Amino acid sequence: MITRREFFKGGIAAFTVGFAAPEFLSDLARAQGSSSRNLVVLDLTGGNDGLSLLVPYTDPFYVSRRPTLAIPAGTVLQVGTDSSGKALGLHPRLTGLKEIFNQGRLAIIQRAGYQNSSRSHFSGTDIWSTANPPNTQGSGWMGRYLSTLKAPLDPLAAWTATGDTPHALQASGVAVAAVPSVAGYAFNSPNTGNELALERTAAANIASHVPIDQPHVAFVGASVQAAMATIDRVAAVGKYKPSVVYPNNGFGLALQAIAGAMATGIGTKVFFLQTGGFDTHASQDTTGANGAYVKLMGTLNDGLMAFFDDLKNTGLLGDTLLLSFSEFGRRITENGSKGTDHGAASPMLAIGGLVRGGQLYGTAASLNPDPSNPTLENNGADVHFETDFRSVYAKVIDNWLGGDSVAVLGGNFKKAGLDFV
Amino acid sequence: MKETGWTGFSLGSTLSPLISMGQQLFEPPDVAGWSLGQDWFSTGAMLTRMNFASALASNQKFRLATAAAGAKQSPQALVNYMLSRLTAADVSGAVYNDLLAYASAVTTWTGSDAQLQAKTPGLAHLILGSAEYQFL
Repeated sequence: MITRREFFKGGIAAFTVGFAAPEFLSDLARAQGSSSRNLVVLDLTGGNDGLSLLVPYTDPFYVSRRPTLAIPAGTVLQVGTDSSGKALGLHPRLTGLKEIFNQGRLAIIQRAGYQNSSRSHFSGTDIWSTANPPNTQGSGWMGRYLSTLKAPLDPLAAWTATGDTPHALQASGVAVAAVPSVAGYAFNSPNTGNELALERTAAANIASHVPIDQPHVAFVGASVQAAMATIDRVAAVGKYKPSVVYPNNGFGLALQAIAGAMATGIGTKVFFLQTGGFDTHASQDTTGANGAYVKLMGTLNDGLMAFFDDLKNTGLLGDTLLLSFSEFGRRITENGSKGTDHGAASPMLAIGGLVRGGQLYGTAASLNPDPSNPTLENNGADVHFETDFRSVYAKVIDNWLGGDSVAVLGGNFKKAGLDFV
Repeated sequence: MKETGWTGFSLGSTLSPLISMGQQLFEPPDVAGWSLGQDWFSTGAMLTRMNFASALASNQKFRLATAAAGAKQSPQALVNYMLSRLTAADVSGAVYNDLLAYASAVTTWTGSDAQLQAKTPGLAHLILGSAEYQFL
C-alpha cells in the first residue's frame, strides 16, 4: 500500500524548480515580458464534441447519424464554407464567437489531432500536454517553451487558473503560479501588523533553504518561495476593474483574473485555464433551452465574449492569443443514451487581435460511414485528423511567441498554409 | 488538526481549503483519481496549505499558548517545545535558526501571555507550513 509520504513524493524528484530572487523580479518581468505578447491556452476538458461546436449541417449523413442530437440547419450560425466547399455553422449559442469571427479575430482549425488518436482522457490529455505521443510522461510543451527563455525565469512567467500545475506547463526549472483564486492567493497569519510581517519574512527565509539531498523537500520549498515572491503582484491583479461584466462562474472569473494580470503588466507570458463538463456520454441535448451542451456552449461563449471585449476596450487584444484544445472529439454516431462517446479529431479555436480569423482552416470531414472514407477512422466511427495539433503549436511558438518550435517540440511540425497567426 | 487541537474549529471550515488543495473528499478531479506528487504542491496549493495552518493556529491560539506556558522561559525553549509538539521532521539548522529568529523578534522577551499568544500560533503556522512538514 502506498504511504502518504510516497504519495506526495511521487513524481516530484523528476522536476526541479529554479527562479529568480525576489529583488530581481520586477526587472525580469519587464525583460521577459518586453514583447508584451502572451498566450492563453484553454483546455476544454472531457473531450469536446466538435461536430456540435462547428456543425456540418449540410452533410447528408449528419442527421442520420445523429437523429436526436443534430442541430437544425436553420438555427446554426453560418460561417461560410471551407476550402472543400462544405458549409459549416457554429452552435446557435455561440453568438459571441460568431461576432468575433465576423470581426476576423476568430480562426477555426478543423480536424486537429494526431495519428492513432487515444480515446483515453488521461492519455489524450498527456499527449496534447506533452506534444509527444510516444512519450507522454515527460515535460509539457508550454513548460519546455518557458525553459527556453533566458534564466532565471520570473515565477509569474506562467499562470494557471487551476489549483494544480497542469502537465502542459510542467518542465524542469520552470515555476508556475497556480492561482485558482486571486483573493485566495495570499499569506494569512494568526497575527496582524508587525507580527504578521515577521512571520512572512520567516516563512520566506525557511523556504529559501534548499536541501540538495532531498529533492522533494526542495521542490516544495521552491514552490513556497515562488508563492511568497509573487503574492504582492497577484494581489495587485485583484484590484483590476474590468471594462465589462464577466459571467459569475469559474470560467468567467478565471478569464477576468487573466485579463487583470495582463492589464496589471505583471509580465506573465503564458496562461492556462480549463472549463469542463464536455464528457457528454448521455443526455447531451444540443438544442434544448437547458440542454447540457447548450449550457457548455453558453459558458464558453459568454466567458470568451467578455474576455474579448474587455481586452479590446483596454487595448490588450493585439497582444493576446487564446488557443483552445480538447483531449479528443467525440464519436460521430450518437449512442443509445442520447450522448456521444470518445472520438478523435476536433476543431481548435484561435482568438486574438492579430489572428487571421474570419475563416476556416482545413476541411471538414465527410460523415459518410463507409470504412474507406479517408476523412474518418475506426471504420467510419471517428473524425480523422487533418492537421497535426503540433503544427498548430509550432505556428504559435514560432510566429506568436518568437520561439523555436523545432527545439520545443522535438521535430519540425511546421505546416504550410496554417497561417492563422 | 490532531497536533494543534481543533476544539471549536468547525469541520465545515476544512471543506473549502480541501477543495483548494485538490483534496476534496470523495471527489477526485477525474476518473483517474487524485494526481501524485507535484500536483499537490503548486504555489496556490501551498499557500492554501499554509493558510489552512494559519486558520487552525489562529483558532487554537489561546490553547496553544496555555499549553506552551511551561516553555516560556526563552524563545529557544518555545521553539523546542513547538517542534516537539508538532512532531516536525528533522529540520535543518538553518530552518531552526529561522524559527528562533522569529520567536526572538521582540523588544524584550518576557514570556508574557501576550507574547505566547502571538509567537505560539506563529510558530505553529510556520512549522505546519514548512516544506519538511508536508512529508510527515
